[in-house]
Amino acid sequence: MTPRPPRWSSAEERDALARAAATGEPSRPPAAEEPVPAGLSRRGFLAAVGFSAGALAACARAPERVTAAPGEAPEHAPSGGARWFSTTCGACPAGCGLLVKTKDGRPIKVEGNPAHPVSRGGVCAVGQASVLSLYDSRRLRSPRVDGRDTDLAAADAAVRKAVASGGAVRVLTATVTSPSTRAAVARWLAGVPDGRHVEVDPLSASAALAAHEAAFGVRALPRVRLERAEAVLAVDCDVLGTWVSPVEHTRGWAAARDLGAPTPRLSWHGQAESVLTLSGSNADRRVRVSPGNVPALVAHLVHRVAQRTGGAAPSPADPCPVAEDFVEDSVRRLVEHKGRSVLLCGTNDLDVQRLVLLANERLGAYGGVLDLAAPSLQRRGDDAAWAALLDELDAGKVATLVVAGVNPVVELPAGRRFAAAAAKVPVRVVVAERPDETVALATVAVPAPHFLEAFDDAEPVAGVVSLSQPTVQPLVRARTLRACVAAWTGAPEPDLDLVRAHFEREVAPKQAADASPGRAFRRALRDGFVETAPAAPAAPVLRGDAVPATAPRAKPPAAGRLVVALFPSVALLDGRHAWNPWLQELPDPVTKQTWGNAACIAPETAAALSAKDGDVLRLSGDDGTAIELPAVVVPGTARGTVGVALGHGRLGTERFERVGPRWLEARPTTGRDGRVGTDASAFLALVGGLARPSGAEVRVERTGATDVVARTQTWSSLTMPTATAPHGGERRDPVRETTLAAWKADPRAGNPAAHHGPGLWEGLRAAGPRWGLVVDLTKCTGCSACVVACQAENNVPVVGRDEVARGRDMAWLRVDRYFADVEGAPGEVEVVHQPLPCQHCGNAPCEVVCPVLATSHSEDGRNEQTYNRCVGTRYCANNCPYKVRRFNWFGYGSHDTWADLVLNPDVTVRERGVMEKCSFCVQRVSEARAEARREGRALADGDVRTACQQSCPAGALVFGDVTDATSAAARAAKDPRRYRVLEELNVDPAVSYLVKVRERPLDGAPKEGPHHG
Amino acid sequence: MGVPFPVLLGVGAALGLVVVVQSADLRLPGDATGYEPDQPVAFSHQKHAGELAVPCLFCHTGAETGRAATLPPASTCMGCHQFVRASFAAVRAEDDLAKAERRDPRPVTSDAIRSLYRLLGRDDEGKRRPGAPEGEIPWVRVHDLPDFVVFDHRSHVAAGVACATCHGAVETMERVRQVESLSMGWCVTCHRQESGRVLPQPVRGPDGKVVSPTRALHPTTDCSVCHH
Repeated sequence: MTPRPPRWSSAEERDALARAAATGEPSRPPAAEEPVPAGLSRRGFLAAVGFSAGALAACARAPERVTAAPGEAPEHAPSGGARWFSTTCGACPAGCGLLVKTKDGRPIKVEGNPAHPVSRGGVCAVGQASVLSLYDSRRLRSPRVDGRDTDLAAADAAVRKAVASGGAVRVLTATVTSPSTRAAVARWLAGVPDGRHVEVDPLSASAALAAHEAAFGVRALPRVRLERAEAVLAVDCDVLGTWVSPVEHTRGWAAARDLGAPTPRLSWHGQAESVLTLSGSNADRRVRVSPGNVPALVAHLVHRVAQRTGGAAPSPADPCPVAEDFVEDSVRRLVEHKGRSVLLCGTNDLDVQRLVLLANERLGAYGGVLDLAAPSLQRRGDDAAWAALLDELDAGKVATLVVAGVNPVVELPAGRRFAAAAAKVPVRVVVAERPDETVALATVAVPAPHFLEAFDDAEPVAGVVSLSQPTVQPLVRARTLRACVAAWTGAPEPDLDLVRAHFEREVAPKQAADASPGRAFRRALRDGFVETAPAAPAAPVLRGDAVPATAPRAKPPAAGRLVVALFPSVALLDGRHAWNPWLQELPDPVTKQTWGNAACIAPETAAALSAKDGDVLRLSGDDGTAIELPAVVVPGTARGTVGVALGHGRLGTERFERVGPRWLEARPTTGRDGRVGTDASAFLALVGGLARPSGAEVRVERTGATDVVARTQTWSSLTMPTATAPHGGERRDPVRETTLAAWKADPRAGNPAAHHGPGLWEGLRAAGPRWGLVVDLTKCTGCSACVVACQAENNVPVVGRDEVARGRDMAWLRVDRYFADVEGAPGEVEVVHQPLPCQHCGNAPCEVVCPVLATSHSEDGRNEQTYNRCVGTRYCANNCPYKVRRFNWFGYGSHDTWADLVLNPDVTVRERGVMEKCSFCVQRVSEARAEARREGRALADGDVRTACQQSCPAGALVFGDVTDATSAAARAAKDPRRYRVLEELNVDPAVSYLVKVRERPLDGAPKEGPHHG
Repeated sequence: MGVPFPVLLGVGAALGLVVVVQSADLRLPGDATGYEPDQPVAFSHQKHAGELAVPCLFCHTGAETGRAATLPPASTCMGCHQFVRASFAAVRAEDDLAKAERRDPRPVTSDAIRSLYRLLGRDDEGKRRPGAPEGEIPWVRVHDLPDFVVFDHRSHVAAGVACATCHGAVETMERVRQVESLSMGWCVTCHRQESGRVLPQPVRGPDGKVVSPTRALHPTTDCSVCHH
């Protein structure tokens, strides 16, 4: 096996590596330096104050505590115990199934519902964080009419009066996955002289919908069943991160890449994209392609697919924009696995989508990987309808506009035009959770409930009706759009009645008739979902006229211009979660940036602009729109492209100014305009009746200013600087990789055995259970759901941008991300993600240096941290080779009585001055053990599922007793791919990893080399 | 000659310190042994748990099934006390008096029950005012562990630890008093001493089959068993 190119985690580190390789001199990247204050010594001052205060403090009896016994026992809720509800995630239209854990009547954690047919047990980072949005103290709390707080009756009266006075009524929503809401809106609009419901998605798939309508007569997106795929090529489509239904896709993707299964599988995944996305970072092979060249690339791909499968396709008119062998290799694999391969494309361009559809038809994807018989209903938005609505608004033809579930001013293309035109509408009704840019335009604003406090239904995929139920007493006087229109129709009914009536009328009859409709509803509510037979069991057939005459052309930018590629970030998506501090502080899986967005540019572009990370760039379009934001050099970005994450710079993020500790040197979390990040939606264009997120041409120049880019990237990296490597300059790779071919030849490929001398502890360790975690790097996508799950479960605080920039983020579980250059393809990179919790070492270096025994070893092999014992010497963190310990430099509490309701009562809220770290979810271990004892049985494998493991959409994490040979974790640890990070240190970590296996470009290629057909 | 003055002073100071320590009943900070706060209702454990022999779990239902033993909701009290409003002797005395005065007996409500009714927002006869929700009883917590300590009743009940082991003879207390220090040393001592005790309880495997006819106790002394 050839030695792999070294991995690096930042541009500086790569440069240092290159220098070291060139000169032979050891070199290390510049370390982030903390500014040293001149004059008054903060430490001295604080020491004096602290000493005086301590000396004055007196011992006293704890204050009297009152425990109120309730008047009546809550139904089925033992005090202190958890109660679970099944419901449907409302954080995005994907409609994943959730189990919500409530304690003392308040939801504190969401988990995946393993039985749910869409998500099958996974939850993404956004879903995990959605429980915090419930306790947002800045939610809209009361209806407003003309800017004055009022009640629902007054708001209803205002709307009814407006509708009664005639004129056109338009309802603008994002995709409504709720069939009962859809029906209620239709019912209301049927009674209105000129009513229309317009659905538009901020992350639009309008062109794909239109292409399917033209070809199949069905306006729907096929459901992507990646578990059936053997070869996937995604072009401009973050299928694992943000596209349509990421959890569902990740589950399928991981199922098709399971080397630990009885029959090991590794489907091939190719990716072509302009900005390095989560999907691209996980692809077997990735090329960068600028947004303007996507049509040309697709034309080449489809042409060759057609040639190989014997069909017609228009000839490409442009030269191939990416490496020839990528196209050849991809097409060969797609055609080879005909029937089990798919071409996915997220470009919102009708010509491109028609070609993609054609290729998928030739590849036999319909009925295989793409399911059109039971299609996805997670995207229904029609950009053309939005364009038509804008024209109507401009012309002043709309009398009443109702907006719900979308923030058109900043989320939809031409949002500013909407804001101007909306002023011409006499009555503007907005149903929204919190005051945003659109609520600011409203004449009537109605608070919408959070999805955890209302009854609802959803049909994310045809044939799957997923129900939601309240898990808490509503915190605000809110009403869903469905209940609103019911009230405006003149038949006000609670959501429960509306949802149930719709269910009993439409869904129950489609089920096996073994129960009354009422019983079927109760059962569906308990299970969280119900599956019905699809209306059309046979897949629609392709109509003949599907072959376009000409291929779409590349659109190169004008000279001196760069192309803006707007992309949804994994955390904030289109910005609907910009108010969630957990998501704001979640490091982006690729850039590792928190609290804000950046102009992501390729190293070549950075060199041309002589810009480095943090330099503020000004992006100005020819129409006068301009934004300024800091540069971040992201390897793998297409040349001439500036990637900017959507959803930042939102109204309402001003609240985060004071997030984090208040102290002398604190810097605000917000930027110069008082908001978090920069709103780039001005570049979100509406071209030819379709949203165009990528393609705006801009001039880019440095302003000369610099800005804080709070990234968690460099300081926790486990790559060893050459200077500190042991004798001989050995670099101990924390991630190990191999190729599929090498793995097939030798399952230990890429996994050299560790060698270490005798330890100090041999023979002293007690026999007994030992908890262990096995992480399959081949399955892990780095989606970071585990990070937020851990944060929610373990009360991990939010520290703010300044603290993150100082390297003081508190995440117990971080996901390390390593780049490696691809040999023979300059500019292309490969990425490996590695979740890294506390490794719970058997010979833990932290334990022996603690002077107060605050960190110790448990009988079941965990490394425990006892907060009340810790005095904060931080010796343990210094001695930890994995850098997973986190120190509370401040009291990081939220100081928000609403947000505090999300705290898990089973986990201590840590104080200032103590160390903390991953506990292997000891509270879950304790709970499972106590339950087992109560039931008089031994603990069984699977009784304890850690928060990270439960959430993982890929199923990459396995937790269990590794000394029990029958446990899933022990079985996983027997895999020849298993290794442990820094094993040569002889610290005996309990967390082990399975080597990442990728299919290299030429793996399994025909011996005679690629042939051109 | 006599004893030198500094020696006298030293001995005197030491004796004085011993006297002070002995008489002041000094103990470690946080040790609330003997804490016996006034409660909002003059509820007598001696009467209920002692004379009437109501089992502990009748009211503290969570002790067997959950982490917290739980305080009973007021509806548990009212199960009896919507009818029982005073001691039998008091009711008898009123009956006798009424007979002597040749009138109907008046309803008798004891002071303790009256205070309960008042807290719950009921009238003196225990009738709830229409539409009014049941009120709460703000009990003052007696056995109060610090927030960084987790105690699970269910594991201890399953291990056969009697309630009185930690809470003392509550059935003899008019008002509940903390009798043990509930300090960490006290907990750990018990965990150490009880290790190896064998309970006649069968242990079942995941499939429900009995894997062991008895259960050997092994209370751990890991820090994280209480602190996490």
